[in-house]
Amino acid sequence: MGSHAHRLKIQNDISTYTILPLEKRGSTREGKETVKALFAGLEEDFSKRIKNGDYLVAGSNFGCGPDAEQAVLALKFSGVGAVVAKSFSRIFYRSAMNWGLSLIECETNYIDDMDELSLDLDRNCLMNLSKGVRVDIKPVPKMLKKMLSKGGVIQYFRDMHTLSEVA
Amino acid sequence: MRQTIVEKILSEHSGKRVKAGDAVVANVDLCYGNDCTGQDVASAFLSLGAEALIDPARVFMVMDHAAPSPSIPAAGAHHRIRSFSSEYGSRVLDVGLGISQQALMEAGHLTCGDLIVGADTHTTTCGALNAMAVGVSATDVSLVMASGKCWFRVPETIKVIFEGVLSKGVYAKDMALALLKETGAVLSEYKAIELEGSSVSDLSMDGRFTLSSMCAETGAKCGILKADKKTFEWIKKHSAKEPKPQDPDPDARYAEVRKIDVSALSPKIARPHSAYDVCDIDDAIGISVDAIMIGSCANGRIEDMEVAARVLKGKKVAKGVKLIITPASRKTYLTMVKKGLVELFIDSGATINNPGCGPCAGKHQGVLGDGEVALSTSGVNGVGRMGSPRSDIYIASPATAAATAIAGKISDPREYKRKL
Repeated sequence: MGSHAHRLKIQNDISTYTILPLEKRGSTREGKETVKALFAGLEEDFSKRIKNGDYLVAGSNFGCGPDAEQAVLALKFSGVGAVVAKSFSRIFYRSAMNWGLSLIECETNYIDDMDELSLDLDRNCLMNLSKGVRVDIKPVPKMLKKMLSKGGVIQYFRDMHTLSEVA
Repeated sequence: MRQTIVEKILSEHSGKRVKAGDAVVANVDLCYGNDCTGQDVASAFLSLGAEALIDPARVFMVMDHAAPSPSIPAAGAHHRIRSFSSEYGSRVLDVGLGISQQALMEAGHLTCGDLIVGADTHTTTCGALNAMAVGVSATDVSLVMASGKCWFRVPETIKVIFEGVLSKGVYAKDMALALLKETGAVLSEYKAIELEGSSVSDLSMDGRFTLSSMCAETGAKCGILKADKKTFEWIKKHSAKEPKPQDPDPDARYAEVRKIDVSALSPKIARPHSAYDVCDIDDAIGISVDAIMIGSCANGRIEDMEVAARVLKGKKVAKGVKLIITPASRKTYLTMVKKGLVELFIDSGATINNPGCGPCAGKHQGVLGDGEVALSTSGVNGVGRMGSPRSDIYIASPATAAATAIAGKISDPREYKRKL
């Protein structure tokens, strides 16, 4: 059993402003309250439609624009299992890894809204169960897989004992 | 071998041989926040529960974006950053010292081969010193403060080779704009750019900083240059740190190699609201402007000021037009005073700000109102960057900016060929 794909109306160059409009943002770590504002004005009731583990599907340069950790956190708290896109903006990619939001880079043209998908990180592929198609994904480096499994960079650094005198 | 410059720097700093596509945790030589990001950096650090900075001498907070503070919230941010720094020992480069990268480099904190991160998009500017300089988030900087380390996805590199001799009135800024026109954001996304070739070698360090600063606009992770005699001389003048230059291997693997012949370049303009919407000056001549801004991490250094002064000498800024000049650093400002440029600019009708980012970030010192049109020597012209979302920003070189200030409309600096 896979989870479902949510294909956005706009596909390319979705900026951090579009993901979470500026006026809806709280301070960095108040992601939970901002989930309802995700894609406000673009995708109605996005947060209600997303079921835990579902995939958000987009085109290229997802998350462009200024750094917005709040946008990453809102996506994470919405229950999105992974964002699947052709490419991600660099700063968004960093913030997503930092906060434990999985990002998958692959061809997304042939994924339709509500297709059933299943991700296999060990084989670097995404199965489209609805269409019976297998898509290769850009391998996620081992270190980043580990970081994601720990929920982000902070726990990863703690477990490496690299933080100075952590209380 | 087969390594690019960034692969070498990340290998050196992580203790293992890395290649593009790997992800590593590496030791960072220096990190910083500014007066916009410093509060987030400080609170992210506090939330880690770490008791101390792992090495306070490597942590800087620079007051450059809205300094001196133009509002009560900005003053509060400055105050909180200073309080955090006095408690934890991070070093403050305070109001008036200038733009973070320029101030840090001139204070001698950087050298060839260094790995630097900043909570600032234009951290790339330091790449001209053969350092890998990357803009990151507040969380990343806070982790460097607590651990001395940061994670990196090792980027692929695009090599850009500039060949040929620039004609009069054409500068490093025009080279950068030509590159933006060629590459666009998508090509260089998540990649490093190595800039080389005879035209890059011919540039002064000031011109090279323009190139590495503008690499931020391409969406690249960093822009980096090889070190040569000019680099070593510049570093020796400013820093006691031992340079550890890194050259790419002759057989290094690149995602792409591009050659740009600069001999035929004419002055370029980036139109509102994208740094990729670049045209030759001929296609923009005559557009009326309300304000001209000379400054920023792209073009606020002494060479930029000298070029603008040569054009403006004996001329006046057009009626109804504001020419706002912002030196990139205190050192630039002092040199301007000593060389008589300040007097010349004032005589021409310009207004001079204290060193810093000036109006480029839209926070103070010349914010644009509804319907206003500006020509700026900075690198960023997105919607609302310098103030109102209903203002327009054109991007060009300091020579083009000065010629435009005299006419009140976009003008070709080659009209002043004999002065250049």
